[in-house]
Amino acid sequence: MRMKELVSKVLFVDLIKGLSVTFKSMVSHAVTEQYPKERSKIYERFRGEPRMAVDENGKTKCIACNLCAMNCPVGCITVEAERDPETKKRVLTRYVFDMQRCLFCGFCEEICPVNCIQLTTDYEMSQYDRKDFVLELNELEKGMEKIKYKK
Amino acid sequence: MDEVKNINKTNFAEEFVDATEELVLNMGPQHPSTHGVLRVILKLHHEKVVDLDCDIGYLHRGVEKISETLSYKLAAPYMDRLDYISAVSNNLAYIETIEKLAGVEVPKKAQYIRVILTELARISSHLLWLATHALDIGAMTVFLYCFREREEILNIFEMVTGARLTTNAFRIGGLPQDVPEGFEKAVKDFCEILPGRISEYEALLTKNRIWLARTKNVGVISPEDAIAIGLTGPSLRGSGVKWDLRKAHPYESYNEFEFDIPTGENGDTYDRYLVRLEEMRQARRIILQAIDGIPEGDFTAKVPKVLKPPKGEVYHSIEAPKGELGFYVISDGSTKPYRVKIKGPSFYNLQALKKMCLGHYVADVVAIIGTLDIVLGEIDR
Ligand code: SF4
Ligand code: SF4
Repeated sequence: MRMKELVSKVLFVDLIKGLSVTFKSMVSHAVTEQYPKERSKIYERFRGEPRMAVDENGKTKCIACNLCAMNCPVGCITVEAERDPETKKRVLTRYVFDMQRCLFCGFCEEICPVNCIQLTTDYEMSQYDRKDFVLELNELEKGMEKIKYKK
Repeated sequence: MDEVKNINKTNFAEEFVDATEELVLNMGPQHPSTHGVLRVILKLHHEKVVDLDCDIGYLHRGVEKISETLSYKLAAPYMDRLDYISAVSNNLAYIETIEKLAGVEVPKKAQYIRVILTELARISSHLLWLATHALDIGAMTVFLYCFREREEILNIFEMVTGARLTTNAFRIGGLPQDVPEGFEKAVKDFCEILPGRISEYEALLTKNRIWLARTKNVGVISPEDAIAIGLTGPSLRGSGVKWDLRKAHPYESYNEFEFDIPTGENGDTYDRYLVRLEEMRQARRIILQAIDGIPEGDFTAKVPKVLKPPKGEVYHSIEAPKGELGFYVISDGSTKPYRVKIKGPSFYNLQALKKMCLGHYVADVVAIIGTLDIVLGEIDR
């Protein structure tokens, strides 16, 4: 046994074995992605940039029930509403989503009775200014304004 | 002038060596090998460690206190951020504790899927451990290979839970939604490639002379010491103690699966390395059994929207990838917990650092921090 160990040590068997793994992966196909050109597959359930859905008339679906704000662990949603004197329904007046504090836990999306607030599969959310992360209703409806880079 | 005459050359050299002062060296908090922000204050004699102290708390976020201000359900996402490398395990530990407190029975299907996801998390955590541990010691290639496989697991997490790291995977009573189509295939495909990949790591490391020199007989801890300090998980099993909560106090459906508990013999860094590699294979075994046996049924139990567990207290722990992760929750009958105490394995494992490092070289401290597999997010909470 000792002899065998010695021979394999002298012949660098351990290193050759390791190097063979390296060489094998050198000739196998690459697993890396060239990011801006190639994009990895994003699964449907991915929790990314928040978005508010609109109905067919372009009006917000939100019924101002405040459930999302109550079910947010960090309290980053603010819902302001007032009662319509004619229909006696609550009407949304302001909806603010502070993305800086969001945990992307998905509780708001889960609880919303009309599927209005949604976490989409968009993942490019960088901004230059912190105030750009505080989204108002119109920004939530059409998506964050993205910075376009010029070459 | 007398003094000059008296100096004998050899004596002078000896005196010079003896006069070497002990040097206090601060390692961290931004040292790359401390896996977070850990400050280790080393007292060195030449290059050997004679004393050591850890300074923790740089990552303190007050998770325990925050959970007292939130309802039972809403505190769950914070638990992802304890040991962010295996967020699913933290989810499981917290959710199970609340279920135990509230007396919620989880359907079998949800249990099986929970087992699959947590075992995947175990593999992913061990892969990341191997990657960074090998990187600390100087084996760069292994790092890249491990991340290649970890990517597959993260893809599965993304597919099922919607996030790669901060998964928030479970809800009280079961799962937030049923598993998507293609889940089974993705898991099976991953299980297919895993053994081959593990043998690749083994080819790179197990017999490698540099790896052996850096890990054999480094950071030895005896079983008695390990138990006394409170080590859990692979760090304990590396010393030959056969203790695994999945077998000792089965939770979820672990009593229905066959698997072995690998143990080491010498309690050194090398043994812990072997134990973790074998644990990955055993985790794969569990996953394969579970995925073939997912029962029909509901993925969640009926749980009241506003959960008010009865007055009382409960402790529940699971075998997380790093060791015993326990939650101690006191309920006062309201919608919010009165107290949440987290027993993180990394904190206990870190206590062994001093015992393991004494008498070793500075360079070995890096290897020993690696072998303990600590995550500072969990230590500081
Ligand atoms: S994802 Fe979570 S943290 Fe973010 S707004 Fe929704 S509930 Fe709040
Ligand atoms: S839960 Fe949905 S409907 Fe209710 S306030 Fe939030 S976004 Fe609007």
